[in-house]
Amino acid sequence: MTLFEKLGGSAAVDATVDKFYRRVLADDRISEFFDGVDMVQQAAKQKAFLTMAFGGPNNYTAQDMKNGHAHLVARGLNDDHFNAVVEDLGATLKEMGVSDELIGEVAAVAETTRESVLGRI
Amino acid sequence: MPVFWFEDHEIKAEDAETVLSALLRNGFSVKNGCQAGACQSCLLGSSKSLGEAAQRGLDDDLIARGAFLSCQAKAETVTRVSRLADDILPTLPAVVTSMKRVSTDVLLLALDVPNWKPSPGRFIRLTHPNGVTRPYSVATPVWESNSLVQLHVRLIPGGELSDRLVQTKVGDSFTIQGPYGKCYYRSAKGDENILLIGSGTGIAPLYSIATDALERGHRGKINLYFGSATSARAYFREELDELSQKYPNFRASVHVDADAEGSDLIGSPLTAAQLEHPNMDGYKAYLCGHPGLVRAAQKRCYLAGANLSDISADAFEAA
Repeated sequence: MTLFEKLGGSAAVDATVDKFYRRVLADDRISEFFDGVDMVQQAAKQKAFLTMAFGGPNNYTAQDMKNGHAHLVARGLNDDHFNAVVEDLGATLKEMGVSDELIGEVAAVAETTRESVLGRI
Repeated sequence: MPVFWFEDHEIKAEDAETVLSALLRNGFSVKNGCQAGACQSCLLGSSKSLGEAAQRGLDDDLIARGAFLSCQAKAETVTRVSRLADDILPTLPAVVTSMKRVSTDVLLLALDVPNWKPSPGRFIRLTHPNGVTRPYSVATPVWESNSLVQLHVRLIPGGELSDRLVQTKVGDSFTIQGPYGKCYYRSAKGDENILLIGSGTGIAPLYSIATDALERGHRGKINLYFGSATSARAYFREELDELSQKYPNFRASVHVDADAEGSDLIGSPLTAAQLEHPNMDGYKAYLCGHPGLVRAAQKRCYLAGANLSDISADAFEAA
């Protein structure tokens, strides 16, 4: 069974996205990066991110990740912010009753995007 | 080998290839993102309904417009696809039947559009014979006759269409296109709490949505918070009063920046809504009017627990 299947597939993504995005928006460490964005489009991006972090199907390349976050890196996006997102993701999954082991696996998938998101490739 | 049409071009796809992949391979530029059916960047329109995975997660309005996820649909399932245009709806003739100035800067305009179905909360594009087009939300209460389109026009000094509308007479001809937008009553259970928050001519769609929900027998509470610069400029009070008298589960309050009269309250309609509803888990919210208010309300309602899919927002940008 893949990680994506263990977590419950796309239904689990749907159930998680609102809770996760709400936590991110309310997080003072990172909320300023979301000021003025279209919330509906942003929620769709969060869903794509969760699908990826859950080990689900996606075709994002490292270059896509770099391009998609370049404007945020220019505004000061750094490792602390990346850590905050991963922490919020872990807290959301914990709230939903996901085991620590699976949360660790999700965090590890998210971790693989760190260098490209922060533009260090 | 599957073949389909993309606008004027015949596209030869490979077996089991997606529409998006075939278009990109043939050198067409199509916006795309996750290629997993989640981000909705790659939407195109199809001449026929595709259903299932190709339309998963799209809202009713997009489905009605034939939108599908080009990264999910296989080339062999489509015949003719195109970029999504807003103007695929027919243009209808509209004749002015009445006009009424209800405040210093708002004109109520009624038009007769044969074969029109009221679409409470959604908006239409109104085109003057000289070609100027502006979007207006439909204020028609749901019980009105099927051919009546009521609009609340905010008159903007020097506005290209505003200036002409002031001089409009009964019998003048316009055209309309629509309806557009996602701000309309939807309820699976009929018992959710509904918040309607807005300002200025945002009252038009909010009122219309309220009539739709109430006439369909919505059982949950429906609270409307209406913001205005001053009490004198808050219009449509009689209509709101009639609605609260007819339906015990409907309540409206007026919130003004200054010069409060009667029972009007000083302050933001959003702040008042938040104070009375600190936890919006399970709520539905409709937000219409000034863009700053609408965006702030969208975020606050979401952070207070409402699902994003239960928050319908329509920011009125001045053209």
